[in-house]
Amino acid sequence: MAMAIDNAFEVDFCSYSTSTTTTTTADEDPACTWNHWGSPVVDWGSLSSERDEFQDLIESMMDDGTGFELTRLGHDHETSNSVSVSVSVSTDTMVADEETNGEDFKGLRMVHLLMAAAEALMGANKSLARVILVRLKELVSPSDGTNMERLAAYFTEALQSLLEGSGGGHSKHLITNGPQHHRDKHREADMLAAFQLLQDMSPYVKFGHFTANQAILEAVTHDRRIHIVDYDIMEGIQWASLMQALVSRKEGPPTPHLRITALSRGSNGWRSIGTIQETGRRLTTFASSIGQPFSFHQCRLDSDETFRPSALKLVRGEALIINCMLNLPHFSHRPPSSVASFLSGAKTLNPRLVTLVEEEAGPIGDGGFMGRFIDSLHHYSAVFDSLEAGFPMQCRARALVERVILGPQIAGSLTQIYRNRNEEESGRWSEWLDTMGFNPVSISFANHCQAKLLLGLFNDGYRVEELANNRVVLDWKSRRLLSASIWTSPPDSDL
Amino acid sequence: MYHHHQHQGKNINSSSRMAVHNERHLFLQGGHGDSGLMLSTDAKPRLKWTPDLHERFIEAVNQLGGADKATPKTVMKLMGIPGLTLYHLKSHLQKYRLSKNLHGQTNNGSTKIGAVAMAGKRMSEANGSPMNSLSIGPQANKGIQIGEALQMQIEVQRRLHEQLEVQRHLQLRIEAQGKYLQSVLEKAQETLHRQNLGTVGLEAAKLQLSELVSKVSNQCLNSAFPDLKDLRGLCCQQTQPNPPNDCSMDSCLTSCEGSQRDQEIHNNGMCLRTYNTHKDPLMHHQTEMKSSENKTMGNDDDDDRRMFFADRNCSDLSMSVGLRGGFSQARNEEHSFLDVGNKRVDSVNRLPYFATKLDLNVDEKHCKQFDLNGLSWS
Repeated sequence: MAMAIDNAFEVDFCSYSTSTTTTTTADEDPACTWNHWGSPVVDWGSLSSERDEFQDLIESMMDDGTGFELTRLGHDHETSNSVSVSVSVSTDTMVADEETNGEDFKGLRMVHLLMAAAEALMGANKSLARVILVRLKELVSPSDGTNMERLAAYFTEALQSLLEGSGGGHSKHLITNGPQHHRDKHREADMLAAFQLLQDMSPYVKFGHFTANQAILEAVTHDRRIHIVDYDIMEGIQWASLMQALVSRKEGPPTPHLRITALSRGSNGWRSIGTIQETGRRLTTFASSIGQPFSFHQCRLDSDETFRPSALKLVRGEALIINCMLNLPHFSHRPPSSVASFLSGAKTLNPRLVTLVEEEAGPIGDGGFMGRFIDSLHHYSAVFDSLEAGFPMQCRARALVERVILGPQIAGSLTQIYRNRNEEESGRWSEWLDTMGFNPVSISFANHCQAKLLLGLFNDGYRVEELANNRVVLDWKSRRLLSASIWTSPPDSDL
Repeated sequence: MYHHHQHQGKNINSSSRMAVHNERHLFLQGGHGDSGLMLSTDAKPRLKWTPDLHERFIEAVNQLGGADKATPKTVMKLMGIPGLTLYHLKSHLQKYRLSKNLHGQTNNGSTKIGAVAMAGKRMSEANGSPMNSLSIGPQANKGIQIGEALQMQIEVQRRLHEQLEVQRHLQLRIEAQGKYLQSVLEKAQETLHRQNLGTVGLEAAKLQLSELVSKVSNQCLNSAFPDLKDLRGLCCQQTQPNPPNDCSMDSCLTSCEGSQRDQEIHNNGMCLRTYNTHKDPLMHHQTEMKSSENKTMGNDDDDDRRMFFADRNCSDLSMSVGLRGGFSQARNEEHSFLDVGNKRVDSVNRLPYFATKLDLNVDEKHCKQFDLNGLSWS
């Protein structure tokens, strides 16, 4: 559908008018009909939204200067377009500067449109939201344009799914539309290729994995048996480097036995490659190839993804590690209740260590959906920028990563935000762990060192920020992206 | 005025005690809360950087925008302490900057390294000229101070050593992860092409690909492309029209709706992986050697750029090779062979980290001239 509309809109839309017509079209919404250009015509009368100011604003946003198509086509190369998204939430103050950069202006306009659409969605003003989204889709495309434009395209898509109440948060439109029987496998392969690219282009995933692994290594130096319970193992990539480190460790008993229990759900998420069993097989093969004693288990979660500690098989004398990676690229968004049940269940097991890696949200402002929406925009804008900064010429590779990994992540993120819009600010899981009574574990010098060295391999816009004794955050420029924190159970609850 | 030689203590190590004996120092002290300086009057004008003074120094530096923006002159002006000269500030600022670098980019104002480095600095000052922190008073404190400083010095060295260890381990861990990811990829590929047309030639093709890639990478790694002709010859020998029953690895691996370009992206991604892991032994070896030589704490931007280009060019090779190799698509690949080699340069991935650290000494030009057109499978 998106494609069709784009084609239609290639026609000159300067003649867009706000006159209402009575032509009925396939779109049954009486407030939003279509003139014969295919442009949306809004019948403001029947929209029960705020009045004139907003209406003017929307109209001014929808109205197009003639220059737009030209400026977009005129861009052969991408300019690093990190439009500062520090616009105030109130849409009353729209700056109509035509000056400066056409690109900046366009970026700003898109942001405003997105915000307007989000607000309309929040206000249950679906028609308005739909109209705005259509307009947005005219302006943006997921495969070309600047960072801001592509980002806006994915956000538009995400908002569209929210609007349609698909609720699944899977942005179907932008992903493979091929024949059904090919789709899953292609999707898997796409996903894998994109994930590898992301690994190469950004320290994002490794930061979380390596920080957690280093902390684990340090916690189990003198143990012979290690048991890791992994909340969301996906393909088990985190454990390859841990195994390597265990095999080559100098202190303590050599090559301790490693046991990993992966929590399994009904489905491993459509984004993972293969099932948990396959992950187990791969890990086992890898372990044997490097000589690491290893065993793999699964633990089923309930249908609502609640964790029951009793379902775990524990062995005396093993060091128990709880590993919780949340919302890393290509992970599914897990319901908060599930995460909560996992972490609180973990507490009852008195683990030696709890490693938690989660997305770091910025200041929410006055909270609520809009605040988090804007924050999400900031967040992904930073991610897009970070990829571009490191690999400015590899636009196709980035486009793939954006399409296959970031796009769905954006959609999932917005779905989650939308679902929790009426709740209080959910806050960080690391704070939750704190209030639950877990004790922080200092992140060692070696761990910090490793993180910095890792970042040094990538673009120098990345930084490690130490927000607490036990928490480090990966930043891109001034935006915090990913937080890794280490905890342990309080001593008196042992025994 | 106090005379230094009056302060002797058992805690002071012998060397500084000797120094104390040998040199006479007069110290100025203006009241404890003042901005009094403690200067010595021996040959080298040594200033005692008390914690207090250091605080003010840091304040001034921060006001000026950080250790890198501040200059001795501006700091001096800003601190406005009489008796503080450019000479003092130059060396102090330099050491401060050094400690900042070790300290890295964390937000905390002071980390262990930073503190340690500064303490180490103070330690060296203490060694060089036995200064008296008269404001502290009794002898024991001075001894403790030096003892602590010594410990911190040792700590610095230990930390440096640890950092080197961490580097080494990081390299290995990244490799392990890469290998594992590669195995996941290969399994996925296998599944995919098992599901599609099983091809006779695919395994053979893969083998050839890896051989070719290894040859290419050997060239990459060992030489500055002395003799491209060999490779060219090698490639040309294998020209042939598109294999008819290609398993459409492309179509397996890419979305149907994706454009040709997308497929090539995937191929690029895949091939680079193949390239990397097949080349593991050689590259790792080189990596280890080079990394132990070249590794610096900070980033050497130029080096990186140079290596990056070198990598890119090498990966161009591998990518082109790979694309020729087995990943031709069923439908419209007539043009792909020719197009892909040169056009898709911009979509080449950066080779992963361990590769980028190789100092390939590649002459960029040679690399670019390398032309793999016409390479394909028999």
